[in-house]
Amino acid sequence: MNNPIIEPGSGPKILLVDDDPKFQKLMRRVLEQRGFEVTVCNDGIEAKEMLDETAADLVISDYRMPNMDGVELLKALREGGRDIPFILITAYGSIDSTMAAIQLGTVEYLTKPFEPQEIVLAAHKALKMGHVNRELSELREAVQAKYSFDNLIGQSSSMQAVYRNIHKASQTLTNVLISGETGTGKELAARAIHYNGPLKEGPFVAVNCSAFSGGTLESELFGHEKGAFTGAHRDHKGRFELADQGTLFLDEGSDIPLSIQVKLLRVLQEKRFERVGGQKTLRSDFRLIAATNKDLKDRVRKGLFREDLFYRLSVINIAMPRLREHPEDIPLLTKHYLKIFRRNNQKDIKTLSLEAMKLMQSYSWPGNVRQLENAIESAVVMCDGNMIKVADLPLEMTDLASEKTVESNKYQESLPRAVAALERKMIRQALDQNEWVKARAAKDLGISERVLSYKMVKYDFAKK
Amino acid sequence: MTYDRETERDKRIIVHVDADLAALLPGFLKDWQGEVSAMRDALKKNNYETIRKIGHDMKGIGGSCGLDEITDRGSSLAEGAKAMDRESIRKNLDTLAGYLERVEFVYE
Repeated sequence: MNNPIIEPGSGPKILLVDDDPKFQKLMRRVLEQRGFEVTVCNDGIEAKEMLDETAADLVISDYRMPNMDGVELLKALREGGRDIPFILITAYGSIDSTMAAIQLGTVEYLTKPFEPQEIVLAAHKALKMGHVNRELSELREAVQAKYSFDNLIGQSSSMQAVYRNIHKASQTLTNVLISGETGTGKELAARAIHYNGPLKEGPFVAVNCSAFSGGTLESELFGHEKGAFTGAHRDHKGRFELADQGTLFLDEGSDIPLSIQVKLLRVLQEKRFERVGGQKTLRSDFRLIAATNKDLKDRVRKGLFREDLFYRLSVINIAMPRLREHPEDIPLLTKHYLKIFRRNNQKDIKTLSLEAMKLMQSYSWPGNVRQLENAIESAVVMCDGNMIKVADLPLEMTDLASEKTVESNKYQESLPRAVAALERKMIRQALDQNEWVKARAAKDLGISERVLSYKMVKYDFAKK
Repeated sequence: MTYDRETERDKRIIVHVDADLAALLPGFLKDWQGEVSAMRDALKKNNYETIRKIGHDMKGIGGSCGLDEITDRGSSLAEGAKAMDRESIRKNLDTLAGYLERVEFVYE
């Protein structure tokens, strides 16, 4: 018996269920010598009662027992939501009981008689599988929680309207078209629809259509058979197959070439397709969510997108607003990402300075929420104190703000404000060029270090 | 685990078993001898279910202890009980009783 030795009493807890006293003694001895903590009971009912009171890491149960057999015990545990790993011991030839146990999620089964080391190996395997299953289940829950409606940020009326549409879409299985500029959260919306709907236990398969050329995209979506083209060394499952019983998310769907659009239409209508180079017709049932940052109707008008496919895709339309259209959400989004990134970076940053928040709210955010997220991440990394200041924010934000003030507001704003904007930009550049050494920056700017210090406080650069 | 038949003269059956089982096998041997008596009594009363149950348990545990003969006899007894074959049960009980009398364990 050359199996790993675990310190006695420190190992996992096993509940052994068998009505044969000699078998109980033998298994208890074998398992306890390998460090497992073994509790024994005589039938399924006793085992169930015991498991209601004390936890076990693994159940090893004989199939044939009085009162409640092994499969009935397993069924009762699964129905009660207990995913505890289970080893069923059967007599030779009990195919039906073995099949029933497998369908209920038994991780292992053994046929009597077996060598003692077999039960030890099976126990280790079952515990390992149980651990993997638990991790998977926790991960699934975490992903579902991440995309729950509670985690969609935004209180503005435009975002509330979007959430209502996402919620409605999630309750159906119809196709959805999500439109919006880059960074507005189209994929996040698609995931929220998937993880809050009836297909949440199925896969969410995302494809960025603009990342593939025509031929490659076809192979990526439909899959291919070995030898279908040069370089097809083995059979390859396409995204349609992978998305079966789940959601297929086609990002940048407007970029799908016309030659593939006609084939996609057939898949959506018939749920059938062939792999590239394949003869066999395959079936896949998935819900399609497409996203585009282009005006798809305009693409239809120009003959670049099939009208029939457009209508097939856009059963439900969700338009993601640009961030500049709902600036009232910026403080909330900022707070949300600050919380995430200060935790990730283990920093005690409490807030943003008034100036920094003012800049966040006045900035145009061409990259939308994704840009805001990146800006906060960058600012958290750059920030040395417990408050993010303008100097910590990405350069493009401060530069653009200054230029905007100087160029577009020159006849609308007061001269002092325009001068201040220019002054702030020049000071920031001088500090950056001189690695924030004040003496050198002051010299470049032609002012004293004392005046520079004063202006740095004024423009919220002082902390650096 | 090997199984050596000694000469007909002393009729000992030497079985090499895992040393881990040293604490259990003497007790199991006594239990099995008691179970042979129980099955003989059951046969007298035509209680085939008791014979089937004991035979089934013997079949399940014998091989796990390195005693394939116990598994084989247990299996035959359970089958005999199902078929209510008194002659087969009687023969297997005699064979089993003889085996339990002559078997000796070498722990290694």
